[in-house]
Amino acid sequence: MMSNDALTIQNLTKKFGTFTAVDNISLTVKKGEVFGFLGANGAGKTTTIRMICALLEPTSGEIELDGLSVLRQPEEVKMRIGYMSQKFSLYQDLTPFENMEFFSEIYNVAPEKLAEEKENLAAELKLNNLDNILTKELPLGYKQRLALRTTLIHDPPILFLDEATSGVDPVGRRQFWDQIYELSAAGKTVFVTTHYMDEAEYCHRLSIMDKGKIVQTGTPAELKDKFDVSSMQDVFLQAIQY
Amino acid sequence: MSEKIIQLKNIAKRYDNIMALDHVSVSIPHSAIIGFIGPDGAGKSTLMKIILTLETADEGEGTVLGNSIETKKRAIRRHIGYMPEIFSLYTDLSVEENLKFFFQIYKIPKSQYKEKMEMLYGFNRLENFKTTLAGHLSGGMKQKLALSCALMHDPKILVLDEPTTGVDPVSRAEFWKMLNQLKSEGKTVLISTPYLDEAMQCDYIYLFHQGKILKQGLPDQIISEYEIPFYQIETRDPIPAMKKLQRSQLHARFYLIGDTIHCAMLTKAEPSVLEMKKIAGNEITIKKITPTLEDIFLDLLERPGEINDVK
Repeated sequence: MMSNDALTIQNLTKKFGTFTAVDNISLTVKKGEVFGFLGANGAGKTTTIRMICALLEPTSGEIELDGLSVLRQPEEVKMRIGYMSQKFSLYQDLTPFENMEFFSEIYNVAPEKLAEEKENLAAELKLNNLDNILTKELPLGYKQRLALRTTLIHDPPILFLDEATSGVDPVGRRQFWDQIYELSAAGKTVFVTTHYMDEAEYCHRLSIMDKGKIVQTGTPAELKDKFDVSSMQDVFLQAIQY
Repeated sequence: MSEKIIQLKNIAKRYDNIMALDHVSVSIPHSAIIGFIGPDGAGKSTLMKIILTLETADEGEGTVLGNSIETKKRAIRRHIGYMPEIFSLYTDLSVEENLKFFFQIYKIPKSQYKEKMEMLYGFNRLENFKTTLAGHLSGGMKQKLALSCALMHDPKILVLDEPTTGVDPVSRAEFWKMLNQLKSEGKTVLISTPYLDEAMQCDYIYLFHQGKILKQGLPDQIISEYEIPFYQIETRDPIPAMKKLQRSQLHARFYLIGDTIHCAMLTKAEPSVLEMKKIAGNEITIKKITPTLEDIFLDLLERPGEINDVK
C-alpha cells in the first residue's frame, strides 16, 4: 500500500566532532502538505535539510522520502526533489531559457516537456524575449517565478523552498503563495523555511527548531492557542524561550 | 521649533515618466518608531532619500527638525543617521575598524573615542567580535554593526531602509529591542519593511502604493477601524470550495491562508451565509475574523479606485 507520507524522519542526529547540530529529531510530513520549518540561524535547519536532500550523511537515524530511503537510494531521492532558494537557484549570466535548458539536462527532462515549460513561462511572464535577455536583468518577482518553474521542471513530488521569498514585497509574496497552494492542491508536498512569521501563518503545519531539537510542531492555530498568543512571532519567541 | 520632527507637504518626485512620489504628506513626531510599509517601487525609499536630503523633491516643501529640506541640507544631515538597504560597511575591515572609520568621518573629538566605543559596544554587544572582519559576521550582527555606525554622531533621527531583510527571527527580535531602546532615549526611527508583522511593532505606519500613501495610522487602529468585514471559512477540502466561491456572483474576494479560506467582502455588507453554503457545500463553517494588517493591505490594493468609499 502506498504511504500517505511524503517525508518521514526518525531519530535523526548529526554530529560535527563534539557538536551536535541535529539532536535526535523525528518528523512526518504528509503528501500535499505545505510544511513550515522555522528556527534561528544555527538551530540546525540547514543541516537537517541537507540530510533530507541526501547532501550530507546523518550520524544516525532514518529518513524516508517519497517511499525511498535517503541513505540507501540517495540518487533516486535527488531526482524527486525540487530545491529553490533565493540565492543559488539560477545562473544570472544565462538567459531564462538557458537556465531551463540547463536544469532540464541535469534532470533528463524530455525535449517536448522543456518546450512546453518554456511556453508556459513566456505566457506567465508575458515576455517574448526570454532567450535574449540575461536572467539578472529580470525584476526580482519575475526571477522568482522563473526559479519556481525551473525548480519544478522535472516534476518532483517534493519541493523545498529555502527562504525563497526573502526580499519580496507583500504583493509578490501573495502571488507566489497562490502558486504554492496550487501545487499543494495538485498533490505536491512543499517544505518551506522562512524567517518571516507572516509566511509561517500560511503553512498548513510547522515545526520550530532550536539548538538541534524540534521544540514544537502543529498548525499555526494550534500553536497560537497553546501559547495563548495572537501572533506566530510570539509563538516562536516563546517556543525557543527567548 | 515645531513639535513635529519631520513635516513634509505635497511632495512629488518623478524619474523619467514614473511618478515615484505623487504628492504625499507626512507629519512625524519625536520619540517614535515610524513604519513605511509597501511593495517595491511604492515610493518608500524615495521619500526616505528626500528626508535624508540625498534627493530633491520636484514639488512640495518640508522641514526636518525645523530646517528646510531645500535650503538647509547640511543642518539636516548632521542630525540624521542612515542605514541603506544594501550592507554598505567595509567587509574587509574588522568591526572595530569600521566603527573607527565612522568615528573619524564624523570628526568626533579623539578624546571621546573610548567612551563612544564603550557606549556602542554596550548597545550592540559586539565587543567579543571586535577583530572579526565585518564580512564574516552573521546577517544579524552585520545589521547591529551598521546600526551602530549610523548612530556614531548621535543623530536625532534614524532612517533604516529595509534593515531586516533576510535576518533570522531571533536577530530581528534583538534588532527591534534596540530600536525600542533608541526610541526611549528620545530618538525618532523611520523604518521601511515589506513585512506586516514588523509593521505591527511600529507606533505609526504609512502604507505606500504606487507613489501614494494609501493609509496611515496606529497599526491597531487601522485594523479596528477597517470597515470591510472579513470572514474565515473552514471546510475539509478548501481549494475546490474556494474555486466555487470565486466563480460565484458573491460580492466578495476569496483567498487561501493555510488550510482555511479568507473572505473579504467587497462592500460593508454582511455576506449571506446561506448563499455561501449553497455554493460551497453545507458542511462549511463561517466565522467573522479580525483581519491582519496584511489582509487589509492586500485588500486596499485590490480596490484602488474605491479607497474613499472604504474610508
